[in-house]
Amino acid sequence: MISTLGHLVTLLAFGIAIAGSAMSFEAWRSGNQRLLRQARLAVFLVLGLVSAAVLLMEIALVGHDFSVRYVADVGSRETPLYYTIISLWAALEGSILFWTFLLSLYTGVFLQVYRNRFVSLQPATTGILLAISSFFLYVIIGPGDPFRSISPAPLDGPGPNPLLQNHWMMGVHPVLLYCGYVGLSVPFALAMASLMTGTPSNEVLRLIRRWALVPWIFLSLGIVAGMWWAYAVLGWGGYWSWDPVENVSVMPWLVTTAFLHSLQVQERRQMLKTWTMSLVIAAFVFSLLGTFITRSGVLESVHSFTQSGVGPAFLVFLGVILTGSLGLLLARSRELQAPGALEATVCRETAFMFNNLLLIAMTFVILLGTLFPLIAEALQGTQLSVGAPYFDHLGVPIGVALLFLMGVGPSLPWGAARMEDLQYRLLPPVVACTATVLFLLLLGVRGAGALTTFGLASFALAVTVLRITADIGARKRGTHERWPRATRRLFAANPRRYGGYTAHVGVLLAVIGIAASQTYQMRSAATLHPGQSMRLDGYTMTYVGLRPHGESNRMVLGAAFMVRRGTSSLGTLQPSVNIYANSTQPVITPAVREEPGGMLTGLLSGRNPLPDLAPLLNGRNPFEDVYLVLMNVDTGNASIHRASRSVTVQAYINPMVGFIWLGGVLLGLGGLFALVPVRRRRMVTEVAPEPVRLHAEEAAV
Amino acid sequence: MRFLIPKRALWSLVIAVPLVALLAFGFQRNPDAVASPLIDKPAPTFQLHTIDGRTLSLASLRGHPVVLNFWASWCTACIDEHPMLISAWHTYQRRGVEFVGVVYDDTAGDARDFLRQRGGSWPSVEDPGQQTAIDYGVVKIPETYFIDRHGVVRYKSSGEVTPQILSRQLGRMLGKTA
Amino acid sequence: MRRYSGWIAIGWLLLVCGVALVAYGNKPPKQSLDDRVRAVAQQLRCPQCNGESVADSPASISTSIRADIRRRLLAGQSDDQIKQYFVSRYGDWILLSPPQSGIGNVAWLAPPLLVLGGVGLLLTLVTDWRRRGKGVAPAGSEGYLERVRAELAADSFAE
Repeated sequence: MISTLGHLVTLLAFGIAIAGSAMSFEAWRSGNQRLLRQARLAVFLVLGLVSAAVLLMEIALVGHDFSVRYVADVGSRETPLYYTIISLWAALEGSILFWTFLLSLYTGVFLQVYRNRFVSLQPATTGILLAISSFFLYVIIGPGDPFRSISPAPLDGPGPNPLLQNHWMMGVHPVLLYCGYVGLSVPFALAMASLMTGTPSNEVLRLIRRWALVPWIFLSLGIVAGMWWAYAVLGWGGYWSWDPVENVSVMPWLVTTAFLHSLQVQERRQMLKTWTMSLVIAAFVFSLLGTFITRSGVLESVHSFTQSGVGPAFLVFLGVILTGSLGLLLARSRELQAPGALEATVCRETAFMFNNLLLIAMTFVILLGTLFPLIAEALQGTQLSVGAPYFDHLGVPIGVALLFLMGVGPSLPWGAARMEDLQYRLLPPVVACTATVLFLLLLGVRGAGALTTFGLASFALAVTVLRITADIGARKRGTHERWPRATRRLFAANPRRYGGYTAHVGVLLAVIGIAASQTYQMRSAATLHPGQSMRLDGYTMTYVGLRPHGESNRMVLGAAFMVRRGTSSLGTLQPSVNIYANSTQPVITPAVREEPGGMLTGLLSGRNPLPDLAPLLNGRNPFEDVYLVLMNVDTGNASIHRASRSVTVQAYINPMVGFIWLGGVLLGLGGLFALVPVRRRRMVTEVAPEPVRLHAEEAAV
Repeated sequence: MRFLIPKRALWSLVIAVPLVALLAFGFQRNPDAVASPLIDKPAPTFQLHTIDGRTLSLASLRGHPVVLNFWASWCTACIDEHPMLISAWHTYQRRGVEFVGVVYDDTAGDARDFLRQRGGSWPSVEDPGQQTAIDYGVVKIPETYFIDRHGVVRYKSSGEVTPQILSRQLGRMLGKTA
Repeated sequence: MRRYSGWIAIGWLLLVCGVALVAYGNKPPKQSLDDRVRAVAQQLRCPQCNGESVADSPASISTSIRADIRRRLLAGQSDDQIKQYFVSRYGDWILLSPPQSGIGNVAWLAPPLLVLGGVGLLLTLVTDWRRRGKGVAPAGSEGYLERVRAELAADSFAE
């Protein structure tokens, strides 16, 4: 029943999408407005039908209709409702349906918001977005059919992969990432449409920027949420393992970040047009690659739960998109070429160009590292692995250089820098940087890599904060407003700039958190009987006993630990081994005492000669996490009473990990703030500054 | 609105074709099938206790081709390949081939239960500290190593062993010195 | 103008001295056995996992490999000897970084070459653009910042 309905709905959606796409392109060719209106109708029909398909699938999942193959594959009567609902993206076919739904939603929202604006771009944009939808709908009705029926229907299914039903984050992190991946198709379609209709104007560029910023925010949040998921679920004490699927989620983020910067140069200077457009294309291609690699199992990874026959279709699509978009760009490259001109060598423009170079180099390292096992095997038949040591070796220097540019860039003016200005702007940050490093050295912090990172991060932070305060001060002097009002007005007048600064602060905090937790993590393992304790970095973990309990879909074998620091108790932590009915491999779930936020003491605790601040704070060290993983429960002798069994536990003290989550939130907030529309007014800061002409204009006003 | 596609647009193929070809290649390989550097090298020796408590050393099997199978009771592919091993064992046991199981990350009790339920009475050894699995470079079980009469590793099969692999490899090893 | 450049120079000098000091002082006086085991284990991939290192993976085979590394270190083997042993059993595949020879060179050399090439290209382009921009009266940019500040400040008057 649901199978038939689902097939009907998706088949109809496919037909309408194809027809709508064809009508759009015809409208683009002929300028026929009636056709365009019909194509718009097609967009909303497709949205309605795909929503219906998603709804049908959810009904099948929640109603345990095992006659639908997908439900029989990922559903189970024992799975809790929440995980049943989110098993829409637990496997390939459902994920593609969800992808298509998000794409139709983006398309619909875009057309609704811009129904009366950018009219010349609309036919081609609609056509491209509908063409992408058509491809996904083809996969849905063809090789990746989620509504395929199975007969006889099984009585029950295995349920989703244990890793997908172990943490509520599975309902959030994939959605954020998918919203990011899918959202990149809108700026891609806009870029293609603008190339098809001519060359992109500043107005169109700003439109592309807005629609690239939306997926950028989702990607930022999705990546950080993924790190948090890995930290809270995978149980190895870290948050980033350079897994192929993690890697492919960063690539579109890096490329979009490069785009958000290079676009500003293009807006002001009419330079780098081909480059900027190729970044938009690359971002979309990487998002397709991300979806493909996440779901196809072409590279082994934590996430490749599925092997599938959808791959070939996807590959053809990827090839068509890549050839078509790059071909169009190359065909237009002559028109896009503009003679660039710079007034100075040291200026914001060049800083952004080097920033782009580094971001692309980082992307290249990740792409090469991710695909290298394939390359080596294809070319030479040798099997190689590429993991953390490689990415750290090549990625960290690039990251440090980027960190440096994050400090220098914002202190450089557009156009030409005056030396006095530059020194006035750079001196305090340099002092802040030196002071930070010396202070940390005096406190006993060691490690050249981490100290360099902290120094550069404090440099960049000082620059950012100083830029903001200097702007507020200037405004106060000019308007005689008090600072809260001045700040508010200033931020509201230029959300792009201050959103950008906020995002920078977010990145810097995350970088500090990463450097600290990578360098100063402390770990220890012990096998304990009830009542025994282990000590690590001033903490005492006492094993209390096993606390097993059953849930509908799993057995949770928890081990309770009392955590103390000095004389004060920090409560109980209960890491567990979860055994799922549908899997023989138990899932290890860590217990984390998270202490978000913080500054220096976490970094220093247990390693410095200064008095520990923790006793003053009721034993809480606000800057580090206590992270326990249950490695093994002694099952050797069944006759021993369960309560007296020993457990092997791995304990980690992770300093400043909270900084990363805080940084992620700021990153997202900064992006959101940069989206806030501003009532446009003629300002030097907004309009391309051709200084001499501006003088004349000012005189005229 | 129309414009002719200039030749330079074809340069896009320079990026598209290799990338697609590379990913297409990726489809055809099994990431778990890692080639072993032990092929044509002496097999790492071991002397271990079988799950029935006897002692078994690889050296004592010298002169016989050996099928060394790494397995566990919790591994579903091992359950699937077990009937194949049993039928091959029936065929080749008479021709002097020895089968040895190495229990990977499993308890002797569970392994005994597995064999009791599913048959197969060739010896299986316990591997404390997984030293033998490390010595052979086991990636993902089930894995089967074919060792010839002279104690040299001739072939490694990753994943479920098939009757074709068993007959081809054993035929080769038996034929060579026969 | 002059007095500031002096300050900047001093600041950077201090920073460089600081970092050098740390780099020098960072030479670990004595690595514990645990640290050495971890250092080797971080270079090896957990065979049955996906991309995780032996150091980080909670899988039992990783625990066993860590124990094996510990035994070998105690027996006096060097880090390289131990890695070589694992390569002789699993192949280069077990190493988490591609070898710096043969095709592995591509992975190691391509990114630095790309950066170098990119920097070279960018510098050429910037010089070119700079030459073209010479005509645009750099004098006009003087006072630009002040005007930006003033406009930002004066922004609310229009409301």
